[in-house]
Amino acid sequence: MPVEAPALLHELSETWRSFGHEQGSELLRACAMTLIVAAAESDDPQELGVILSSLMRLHPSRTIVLRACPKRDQIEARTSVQCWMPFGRRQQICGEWIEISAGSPRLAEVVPLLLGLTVPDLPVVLWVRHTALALIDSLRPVLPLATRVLVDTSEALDAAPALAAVQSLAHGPWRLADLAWGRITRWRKALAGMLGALPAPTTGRLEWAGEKMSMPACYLDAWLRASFPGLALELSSCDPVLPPARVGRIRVLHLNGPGLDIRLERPAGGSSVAVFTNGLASGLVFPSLDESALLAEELGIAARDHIFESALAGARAV
Amino acid sequence: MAVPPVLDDPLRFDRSAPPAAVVIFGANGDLTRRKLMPALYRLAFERRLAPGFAVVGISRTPLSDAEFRARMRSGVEKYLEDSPFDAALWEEFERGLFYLAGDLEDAALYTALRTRLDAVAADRRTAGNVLFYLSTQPSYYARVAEGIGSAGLQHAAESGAWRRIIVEKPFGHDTSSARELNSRLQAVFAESDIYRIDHYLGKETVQNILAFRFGNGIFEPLWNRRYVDHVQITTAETIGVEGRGAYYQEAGALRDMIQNHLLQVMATIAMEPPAMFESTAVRDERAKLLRSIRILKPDEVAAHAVAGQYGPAEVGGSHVPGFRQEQGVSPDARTDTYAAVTLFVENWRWAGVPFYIRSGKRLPKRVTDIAIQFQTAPLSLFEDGEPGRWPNLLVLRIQPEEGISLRFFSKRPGSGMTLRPVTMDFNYGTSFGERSPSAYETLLLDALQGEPTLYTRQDMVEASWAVVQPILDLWANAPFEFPNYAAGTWGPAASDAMLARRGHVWRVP
Repeated sequence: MPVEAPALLHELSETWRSFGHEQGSELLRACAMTLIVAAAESDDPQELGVILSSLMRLHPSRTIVLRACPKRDQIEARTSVQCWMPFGRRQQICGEWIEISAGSPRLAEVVPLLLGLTVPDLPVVLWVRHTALALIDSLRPVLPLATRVLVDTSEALDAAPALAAVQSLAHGPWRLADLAWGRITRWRKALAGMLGALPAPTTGRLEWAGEKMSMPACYLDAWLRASFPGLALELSSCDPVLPPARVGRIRVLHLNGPGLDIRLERPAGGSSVAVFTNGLASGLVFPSLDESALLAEELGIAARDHIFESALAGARAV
Repeated sequence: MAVPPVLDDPLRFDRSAPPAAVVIFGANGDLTRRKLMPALYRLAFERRLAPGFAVVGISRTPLSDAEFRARMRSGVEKYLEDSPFDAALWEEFERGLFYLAGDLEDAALYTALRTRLDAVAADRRTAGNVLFYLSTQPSYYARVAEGIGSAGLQHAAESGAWRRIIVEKPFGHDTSSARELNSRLQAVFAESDIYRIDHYLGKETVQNILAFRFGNGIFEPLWNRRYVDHVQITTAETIGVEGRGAYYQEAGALRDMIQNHLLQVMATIAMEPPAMFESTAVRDERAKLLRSIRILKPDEVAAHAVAGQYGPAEVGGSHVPGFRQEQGVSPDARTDTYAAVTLFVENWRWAGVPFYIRSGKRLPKRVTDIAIQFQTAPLSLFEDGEPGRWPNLLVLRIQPEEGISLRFFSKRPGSGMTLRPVTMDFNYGTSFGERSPSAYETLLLDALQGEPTLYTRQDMVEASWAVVQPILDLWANAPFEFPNYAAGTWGPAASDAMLARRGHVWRVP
């Protein structure tokens, strides 16, 4: 049986109608955008569900999860409604959820389906959970549907190909963001606070775990060089062993200059960061960030992110 | 520590407060427990307070630091809104709470405060920054400021440190007392360091008026006398004076609500677009609007202002006492528990457009909203539907159902051309799932950061007193026949008559 957008929307309407009868006015249908999530078949549906449910609280949306299943020959879809009760309130806030699975040969057929399912006149955000998915030919036509495209290169083992992939996506009609950039927000904020009353650095060293450079390290390097033109920053791996997934790989940042000696050190697998500012020791905590927190940070930004764009344009991978 | 512009990322870096000590005068009062401490705790919860943060509470009651902390904890647990209480966080937060007992009129208190602040600065690393908060009885405001001045606490010894003072309303009880208070405050603090708080301006929905007006292109062309018939601003409360009888008896609705909150709301609705979104530009436009409100002549007051006082009634099966029967209220009190005024703005944009403002206690519903009623279509093509009776109406709902709705006509389904008024609704909760900060969270963070846009300025306070002063003068000796409305109704008949003279009616919110 073919999957058609009007039928899916009708199904959603019926769900709302029956929900409305059961819950009355205690239900609020919320939607600020269409969020299309391009996921791989191997992505754990439960884990993805937790991330998106948590995100829905801050950014209610019609969420369309598009799962690319290489071996499947069919297109399948199902709809549901997800609700949550904000603390101290009596009214539940609900968002819509459509899940579509399609085999690789059929992915192109999904594009018109998505066109019929986006919420009119509201932004369309595409989150490509694995950057490689954005480069699949049959999924490329999905990109122009989006006003914003979010990729995530945090887990890339080697920044060089990941950076090339992200830079290849940077020139579309959409606004591009990379969740890996959000992973260095706390580093950048800490440095901004520390450098407020100190002279600009002229030399420095950035070290990471893993043989190849990570994308967050690549972005931090680019941001520092864009902020301090002329800064000579050495880049190197300090530990060939990769930390577990989602644990930050940046280990050491050391900045020097006349009257300036700042060193931030994060031990392997730790969330605490030791800070040495001109001989004074202090500490910071950078708790592990999950994808919903990173997505929430990106979706909270309505304006064009010139700082990210500048860092992306000037990034280098070694 | 300031973020150098080259490293700043305003899109991503949360606003957070610099290290500071907040000194609350009147720390044993209701405001501290209900509003200030929950707001500060919530800011700590969101990690917006610097590690070097402290509160020094001051009041007459002898309390130890531990007793003060316990009182504040019970207040936060009870009054924290839309947010769970985290005991572990509280333990960390309360380490920065200190208490000092003393008489506000005794110079020794301020000397002791200096010693305490020095100790707190060393212990908590507050960098010498101090935000004084006047939450005492209003009659103490000037004396506390002078006490701070006598002890030299208005100037920080540390280089780059700041000292600011927040003053709660009321700023005086008439024009001359407001001027005197301003002059005594300014004898100690520079005007730029005086933060007069009007919590209405800190409400998200009031701030959204600026976004709605100046962030969208389609409304501004309609926002003038050519298209707007009149504006109604309503603040209604179902409750009575709730133990504040003695205070309220001296204040009344005109002083307590209209002179400050509602005139500020009116200024936000009617002001010209500022040249930029920056504190001086925004406050200049608000002040300009307040100065443009026509001051009533004594013989105009009766036709443009109505006072009311509620009497006893049976509401929903229970007996509600009249104002004069409330605890702490004199049996012959002449206080206005309801006030309605008709104001005109004398500028090219608004000339001739009435702004009706009403505020009352013991009304049928708790609501604050602003209704902009547009003129009717110039020619009625449709006989049915009474277009003249249901003109387009834009309602900005401040509380409790925060949002915006637009009323317009639509064809009823079926044969024939029958029209029916319908509303197009925007509800905050529909588009924003996130929690809105309370007005006090917003305003305290602003003051700690030295951001005064949402605070009122001396010229704004004096301009708004000038608007209500002729009414206060006349009402001081007017022969009111109070009570003139029953609890649970929409106010006195004279208020309806005031609008009827211009062919208008109060909406039922």
